[in-house]
Amino acid sequence: MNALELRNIEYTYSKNTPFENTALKGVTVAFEQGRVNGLIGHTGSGKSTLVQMMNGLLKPDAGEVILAGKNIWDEPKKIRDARFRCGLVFQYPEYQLFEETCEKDIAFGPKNMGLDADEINRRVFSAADFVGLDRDILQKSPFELSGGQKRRVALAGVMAMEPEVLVLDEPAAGLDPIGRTEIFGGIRRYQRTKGNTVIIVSHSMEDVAEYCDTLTVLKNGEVLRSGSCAEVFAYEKELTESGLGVPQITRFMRLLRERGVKVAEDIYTVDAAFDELRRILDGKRGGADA
Amino acid sequence: MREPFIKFENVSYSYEGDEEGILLPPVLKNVSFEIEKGSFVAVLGHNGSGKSTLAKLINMILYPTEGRIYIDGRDITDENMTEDDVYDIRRRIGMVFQNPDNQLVATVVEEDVAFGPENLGVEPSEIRRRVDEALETVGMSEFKRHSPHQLSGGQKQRIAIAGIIAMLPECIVFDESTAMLDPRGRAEVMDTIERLNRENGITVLHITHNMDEAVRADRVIVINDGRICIDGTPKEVFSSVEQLRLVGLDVPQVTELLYDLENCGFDVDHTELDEEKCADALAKLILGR
Repeated sequence: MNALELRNIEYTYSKNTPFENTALKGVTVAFEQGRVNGLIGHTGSGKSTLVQMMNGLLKPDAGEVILAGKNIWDEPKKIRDARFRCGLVFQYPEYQLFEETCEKDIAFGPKNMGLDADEINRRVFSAADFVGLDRDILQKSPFELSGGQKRRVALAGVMAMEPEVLVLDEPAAGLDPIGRTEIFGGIRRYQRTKGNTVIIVSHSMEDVAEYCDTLTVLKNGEVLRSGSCAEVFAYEKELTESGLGVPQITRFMRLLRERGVKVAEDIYTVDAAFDELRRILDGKRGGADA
Repeated sequence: MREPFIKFENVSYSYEGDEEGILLPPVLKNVSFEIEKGSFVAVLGHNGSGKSTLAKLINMILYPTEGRIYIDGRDITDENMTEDDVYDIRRRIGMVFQNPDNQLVATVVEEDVAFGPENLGVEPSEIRRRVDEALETVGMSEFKRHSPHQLSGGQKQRIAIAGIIAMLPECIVFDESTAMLDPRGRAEVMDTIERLNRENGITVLHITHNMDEAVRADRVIVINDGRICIDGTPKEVFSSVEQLRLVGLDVPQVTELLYDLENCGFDVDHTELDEEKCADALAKLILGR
């Protein structure tokens, strides 16, 4: 089952003006229910435009946006539903915090959904748990927090709406390695607990390799390729030509293969590389002993 | 050792709290270091470690709470510094920030690059020459008549860099200037930074979270909790895997792999940072030739 499907999406900015700019040229992509999907592409490839299609912030010139089997534009007056069911976390969401306390800020979304107080409370605490925010932080003003903490509050605010599809645009941009691990850990906890679908837009090949089940590559407003990480990262040359690349470790495995070492081709995390080399080296050590 | 271009002597810095005159706990604590003219230094540290504060002290956006800072032998913390002296320091030390969209001011690329020298009161013919040369240096000459907002992130950052170069600085501080770029944009900006350092002799301070970028510097300074905790060549710094992890940083993926293999007793060297050489050594170990 697909949680979200985009079919033949076309979109042009500033149509019929000298600044006309076609951002999406017939994009078709499906995001399977309950998986973490990566969306990658060079600057200007159409990622952000596509993301804004997903919950109806932008209306496609042509094509369909199917959320849980139903075109979100069938009833334009109910488009607000799509905004709750497909939650969008923009880049640098910490700039959008505005409430007096973190708790109120996280509660803003569920409140707008018209939920009762008990349910709002439950959701605020559960979202705070996903992103690892302590209870005492919830009573603080968001402006007293560090950048990484603010980012987690903003993320919790969208998670508290418990959207069927959670879309995140560069969730870890500008964070240090620990901050990145915390943010991605929170996203993973949300996804595993709720079984909901997640879409992550990122420029870091290492991060998508580590956290995503599937990848979709956009290039100049078209889908260049989509599939599992292994299927996509097999095309190193094509990705590099499209302004992207493969994780450093994947490139390193290729260097080893070029030198005659028979390592598997589907390695894109350090852990997998370690296991593979350990297997080869242990085998060799065993062989030498015999 | 050559004359230091930047010298910090027991520098501390505290931001002011909500109430006037009340200082928050210091973000930089008694920091001393020297940076040689013409060097390429990467500065690493987790969010909130004090990296950006350090950068802002260097070109006088901030003024230290305690201690002295010398630029090219001149004490910039001296109370006799005039406004003109401050402008002169800011011209000599350019800064490139994180978000390319926040740094461009004009609607045409060459006008954007001319903005700095125009403000310095440079002769028009000289401005023309500097703009052309700066765009040439960052490889963006063919875009000089374009509108900046139609460019990619990496191209925008290179325009921002050209705008700095046109002021003929001796040093450029890059404050996470590659953080928002896609892989190609990063590569373009890193190549430009490297060229400015090697070919034009510009002293570079590159603040980053990306370990692969830090590997390309001559020297890496790691800041933790307001203090310098590791300082050395990339090889020295990245061989301290445990220490880096302790302060919340990573090492490049290949270093991590070799370090883990080394810990299992295999004969590899995790301090080698060149990927090709690492592959050579590992292939030799596995294939036995």
